[in-house]
Order: sequence, then C-alpha cells, then structure tokens
Amino acid sequence: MNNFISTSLKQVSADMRSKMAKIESANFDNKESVLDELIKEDDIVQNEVLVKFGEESAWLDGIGGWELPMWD
Amino acid sequence: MKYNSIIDYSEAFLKLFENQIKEEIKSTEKFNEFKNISKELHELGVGFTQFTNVKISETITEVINEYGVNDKILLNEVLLHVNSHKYLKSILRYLIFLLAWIKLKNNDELYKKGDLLLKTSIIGTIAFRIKDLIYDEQKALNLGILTEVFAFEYEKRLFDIYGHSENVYSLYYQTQKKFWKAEFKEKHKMMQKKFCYTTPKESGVKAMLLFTPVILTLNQNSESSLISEYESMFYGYTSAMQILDDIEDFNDDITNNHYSLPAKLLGKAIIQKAEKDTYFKILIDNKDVMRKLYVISIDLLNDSSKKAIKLDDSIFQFIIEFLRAKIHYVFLKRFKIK
Repeated sequence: MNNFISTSLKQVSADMRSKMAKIESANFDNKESVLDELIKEDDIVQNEVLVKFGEESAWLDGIGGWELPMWD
Repeated sequence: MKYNSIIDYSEAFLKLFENQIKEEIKSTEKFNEFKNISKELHELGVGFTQFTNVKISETITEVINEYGVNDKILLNEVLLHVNSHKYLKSILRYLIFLLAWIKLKNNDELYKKGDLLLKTSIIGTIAFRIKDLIYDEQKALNLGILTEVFAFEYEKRLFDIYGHSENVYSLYYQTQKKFWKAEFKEKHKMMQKKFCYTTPKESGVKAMLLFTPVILTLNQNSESSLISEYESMFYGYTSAMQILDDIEDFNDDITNNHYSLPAKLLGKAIIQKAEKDTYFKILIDNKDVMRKLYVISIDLLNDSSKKAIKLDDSIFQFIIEFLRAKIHYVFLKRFKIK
C-alpha cells in the first residue's frame, strides 16, 4: 500500500510540476495569463493548490485564518 | 472555503489526492481499492485522527507542570506569543507531511510515537519562537527562562523518541552546531547592521528544527548515507519558504536591523531614505526586486525538486510542488510582479 501511495504522490507531483513549467517557460508579461488559464481548468491546480493554498494562505498576511481550533 | 485548522488542511491534502486518482479509477473493483487508499491515508496521519489529542495548550501545561509550576497566566502569555503565529502554523502543516513521510519510510515503530514527536516539535518550536522574540524584537523578555526549559525539554524528548545512543547524540549535536553557527552569524550581522546571509540558501538552515527528525529517522532506518543529499534538498525548500517570510516581515525586519535577501536586493540607499513602516510597500512596489526574488525562489525549488526526484522521495516531491504553486500564485496574483 505504501508503494501505491508513493507512486501516486509522485504522479501528482509530476503533474503539478508540468503545469507549473508552463508558467515558468512563459515570459514575464505572459506568466499571469498562463496562471489564469491553469486556474480556469477544472483540475488539481484550480481546486486545491493555487486558490486554496495560495489565496487563503493567511499566514502570509500575518493575520488569522489558521487558528488551530482543533488543537486548543 | 477557508481552511481554519490543521485538520482542514489534511482533509484538503486527502481531497487533492482523491481528485487526482478519481479520474483514473472507474471500475467498482478499483473504486473499492481507492476507498481503501483513502482509509489508509487517514491512518497515515494525513487525516490526522490519530493525533488530534495533541493540543498546544496541554503540551505547554504538561511541560510547565513537570517543572513544578502551575500558572495559567504564564500559559496564556505563551499562547499569546505563539498560538496564532505563522511560524507555529507552518510547522504544524509540515508535521503532517513528516508523519506521512515516516510512515512511507516503513518505520512503524517510530510512527506509533507520532504524537510524542508532535508534542516534542511543538515544544521545540515554542522555545525557538520565544528566543527569536527576545533577541530580534526585544519582546517576551520575561519568558527568557522558558526558552531554556523548553529547549532542554525538546532535546530530552527527542532522545527519548530516537534513543539515547552515541550515534543519535552525535548526529543531533552536529545539526545543532550548524543551526547555532547560522544563528550566531545572523545575530552578529544584525549587531553590525549588515546583510544577514551571503547566499539565499543560507537562510534555510534556520529551519534545522524541522529537519532534525528527518536526519534522526534516516539514521534509524540505516540510511545515514542519504543525509547530506536530503539536507541539500531541504534547505532549498526552506530557503524558498524563507523568502516569502522575509517579504512579509520586511517592515519589522528592517526596524530590527535584520537585513535579509529582499533588503540586499533593494539596497541600503533606498531603505535609508524610506520612512519607517513604508519598507514593505517600497519593496513590493519595486517590480525589479520582486521579480528577482520570484526567480530565485523558483530556482531554489527547481534544485530541490531535482534532488527529491533523485532521492525518489514522494512526500518531499509533493510538498516542494505545493510550495512552488504557492510561490507562483503569491508573486503573480498578490504581488502583481508583471
């Protein structure tokens, strides 16, 4: 089972890496529109990574959002 | 949806995983297998149900009580300083992956001690967080003794988990030496009002606390030969993370004479001309510097990613790509570096 999980995680990572490579290979003027295109796609990038872990990453704002209610 | 807790975060991790493989699994037989994987992932600690009994306030109380002190005011003061701070939050986030990593390394004996490792890491994080508050910001000065007690308790508990052997002591003190070397250099540069780091990667060493369990686990798994490769991969990852941190802390850092990479790129002349509390705005308005920081961050992650692939480490490949996605999003959408 561990092997299956490892393999799947590596596949997810490779998929993310190839999507991010599209941004990295674009010139600076086009990077944001490439990112927007990725976000429009109904996939891993939109659903889980960029929006939720980018936009809502409140720690970057130095304000709440990760108040750890389950921990205290 | 907002993620409000580490539990939510782990659920999102699981969902991410599920979404990815759902498309590939159509048949009932395969779907059952998929459900088992979900269960397995929860058991991995990704769902974190096994560890929800570990609570920050109880961990602090436990340590304080062990030293014969029962003081709720003291507890609240510590919580005030650490509980909502991003440092502790990002460490808790990382610990989910560390536990999954230990499980995937097939070290079940160590994985069963996951709750102890969590508590120990929380104790260490608090010690180092308060130390930084005292030295960098001249805050929490009355909690000085607590950093000593918590640092000692962190060390003792780490040895209780990984074993009291010469080999473990030796590895632990080697990592501590590297950490203190980086810390001493950084604080000394602050005293001299000079730039803190020579290279971007140097800043990653400050995250030694997070890497120590990795080193000790590799050692326990008879994989000590991989430590230096893991170390190089890890510091690329943590130094990219540190760049975001340095941007966010830019106002406070400049006020406290902490000249990090963004300050180095911006240049002292610009900083000296700026009014207090405008440093952050001046930094993010400088597209040239922000672009450089973005490129450096991605370069660091590219290097780490290559090393994680070479090590065939699925968890580190995954968390590196998470950070890469976040860096793209933050620089392009939030900082608008276009």
